[in-house]
Amino acid sequence: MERLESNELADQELDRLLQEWRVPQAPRRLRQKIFGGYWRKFWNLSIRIPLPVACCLLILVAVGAWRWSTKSSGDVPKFQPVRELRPRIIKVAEHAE
Amino acid sequence: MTPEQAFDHYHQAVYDFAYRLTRRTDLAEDIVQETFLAYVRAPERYDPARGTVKTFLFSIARHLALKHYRDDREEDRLEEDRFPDAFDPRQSLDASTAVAAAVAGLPPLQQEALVLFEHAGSTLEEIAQIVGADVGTVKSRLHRARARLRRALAAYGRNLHGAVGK
Repeated sequence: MERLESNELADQELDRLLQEWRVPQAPRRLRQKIFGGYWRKFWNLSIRIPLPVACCLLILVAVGAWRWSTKSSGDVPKFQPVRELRPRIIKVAEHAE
Repeated sequence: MTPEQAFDHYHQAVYDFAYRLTRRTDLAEDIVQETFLAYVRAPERYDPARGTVKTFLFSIARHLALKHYRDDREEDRLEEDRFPDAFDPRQSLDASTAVAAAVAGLPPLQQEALVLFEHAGSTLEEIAQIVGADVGTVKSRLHRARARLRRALAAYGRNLHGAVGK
């Protein structure tokens, strides 16, 4: 397309100038910031569980916790036998007077 | 395409796009990071029926770039000119700076259409998907952007005609 007016660029001239517009390279650290290392992957990890399975797991955990708590509360403190028995016998004088 | 594969393919293109719209490396970096993190966190949001991974990523980046404009309280000027016609590109020493300054004088919606078409190599249909407009609207924005740039860069183009051509 030819230049329409003297104060306008032709399309080809504009195309050429537009290609002169330079942009810096994207920084290399971007990949690390986005995807990170294994720890980041670990913390972002997620799994999908069907709701019935999740409910069953929750019930199992709740029952287990309840049983553990009742069992631990019923225990008697540990019995420890006396290691050395030294009975002290106090005799009352029969004929004290 | 996994997010990492998408990053390998498109991160430079998204960075180019964000940089040309914001003209700031820190903002461009933030936009690329947010764009790909959005894909990493919710890859199911990408619907192949609605477009390619490229258009999906560019639409996120475009949304973030426009959010930057809004944060600068410029949302009411999206269809208006940011700089007057009196911009003199001859003040710039190199062509890259002159073009960047001239494009900065365009309304943001014309800028994004121009950058996507001229620099990201997107088709009119792809641009329409990215910006959420119909092809006719994109054509119109592109036409107006080029017409305005032809005038804004005329003086610079004439001065540089020989140098760039060689």
